[in-house]
Amino acid sequence: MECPSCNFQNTPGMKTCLRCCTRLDFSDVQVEPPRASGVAAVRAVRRAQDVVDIGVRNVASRMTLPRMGSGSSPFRGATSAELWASLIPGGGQLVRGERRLGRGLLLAWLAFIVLAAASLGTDLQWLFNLGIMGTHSLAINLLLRRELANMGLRQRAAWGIVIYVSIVVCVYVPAAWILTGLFQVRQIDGFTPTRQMQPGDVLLISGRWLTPERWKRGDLVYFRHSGFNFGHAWGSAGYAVDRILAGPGESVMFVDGVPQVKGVDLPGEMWPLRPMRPGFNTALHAGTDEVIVLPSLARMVTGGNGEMGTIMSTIGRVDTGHVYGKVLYRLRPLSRFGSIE
Amino acid sequence: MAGRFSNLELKPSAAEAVTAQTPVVKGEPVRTAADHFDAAEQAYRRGQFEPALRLYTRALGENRAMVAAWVGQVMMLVELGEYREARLWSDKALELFKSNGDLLAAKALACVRAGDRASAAASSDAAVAAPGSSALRWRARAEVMLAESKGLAKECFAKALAEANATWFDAVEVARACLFHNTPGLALEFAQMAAAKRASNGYCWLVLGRCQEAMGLASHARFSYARCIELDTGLDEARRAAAELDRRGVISKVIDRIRGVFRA
Repeated sequence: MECPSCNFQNTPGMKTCLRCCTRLDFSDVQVEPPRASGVAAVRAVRRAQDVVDIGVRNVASRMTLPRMGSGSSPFRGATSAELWASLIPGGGQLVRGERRLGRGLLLAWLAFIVLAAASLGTDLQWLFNLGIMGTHSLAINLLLRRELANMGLRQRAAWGIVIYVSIVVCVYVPAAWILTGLFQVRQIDGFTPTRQMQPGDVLLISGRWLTPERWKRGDLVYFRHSGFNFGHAWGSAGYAVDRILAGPGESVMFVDGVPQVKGVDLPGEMWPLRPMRPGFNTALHAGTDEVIVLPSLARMVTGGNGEMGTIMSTIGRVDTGHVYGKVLYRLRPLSRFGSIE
Repeated sequence: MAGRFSNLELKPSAAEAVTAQTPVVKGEPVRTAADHFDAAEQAYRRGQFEPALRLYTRALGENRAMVAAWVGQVMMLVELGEYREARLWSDKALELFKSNGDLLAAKALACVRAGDRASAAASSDAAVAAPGSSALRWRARAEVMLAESKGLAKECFAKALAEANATWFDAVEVARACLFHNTPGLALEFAQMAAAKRASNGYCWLVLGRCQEAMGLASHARFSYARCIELDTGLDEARRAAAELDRRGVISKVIDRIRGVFRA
């Protein structure tokens, strides 16, 4: 009986080759090959899975990283390609060939990201953020499980903490820094409701990198206002949202409650969210690094009508450094999702 | 007279006696694994991959130790575009026939067509390092080179065709591989070589037509398809390709011309 691999002549009846251990008895081997599904959608999904898996593997194989750790470090249990690929949870497992585990971890991580995005600005967000980082940490721990299994409980716990902290510091803190540079999510609370804005609304505002060099009239902005206290009339400091009435160095006049710039009435879409009442007359001048915003949404307890002008001239001038971003969208409640009129 | 003696019982002739004694065998003749394998190879050489796959499977049903039939199955899955299945099947076959060079080459082809260049390169390296040599191994090597845009692909293809076991069909396969990797200039070169070697084969002309079409040489392609239909009336693919070519509008023709200029 000739071995198909090494051509060694074995004794008849042998089940494996004496020289190379290749199987010689094929009687129970299935010969019908697997076939692709006839459904085009299934084929497309499988193809997409392959593209993702292969893409991760191709990218990881091009990266070079010196083998991390030595001695008792669990990192010697993984190749550099697997560690690089673990920048995305499950990537290391996919590179190693543990496809089911890798996909499961990746899906769990993506599910936490979706949940965190859906709960932006709510109390539950921290829980899902924790889930994102926990899944990532778990993925790396599972990648190094063979090495970790040889360690004592304390050592394992210590490495678990090290891995978790490393991920948070090296991946999520920079990621959060980059994301907040682009966009920020803020929940507005503690103000008198207006037609456009209700307490508890969650807003998406532009981040520090998208802040314009010069604010324009009519921009709806998120800013910090200083409080005021005139004894019998006071307002608490805090954050508010409203429209810019005048840019740096400009002036705005209120004539019978109607804002005017250079003697021209501002169009309705540039008015404060809560228009001033008729009979309100005052003039506000912005310094070179100030803008005029009336924090009509701020929680204020004001005194008599006569003092409004003084109060507004105190709190209506906002330092440009205290304007944090332009309001882009309302994220919550979902029933009123979209841009703010 | 005939009617008068027709009922007489006469002694049968010797030939009739032999026919009467021989039992009549009905149904298909008994086919061995080699028969199925030959039929599969013939189907493969006509570009009929689905029947070829079935025939390779039948060959394996008769003889599971026939490595060439395993390789054939993997190759058919690759030709049918089922790369994931081809890879799975090649892995299974490699469990049975460890380090078989042709199986490794077939796996490399499945990997490279699926876009997994790293695995393809690893399999191809192992295939070339395995004992023996074959056109398939060098073809797989060349495809890996093509996918990685390395300049040695043409040399590897030439080496594949210079192998002792290389036939005209290897040139056809090389041309198809080049077409897959979007290098129709190189594909045309090999398709012409194949057509020159075996001008009587319809499939050669079909592949040549495909290459010419990819190069924007519509009139040449039309001629090649006509020649293919003339030589092999059973090749429906050539009819479809010719019909598609005739259906093309003016804009497609102009675009083809421009593509042809740049691809040359």
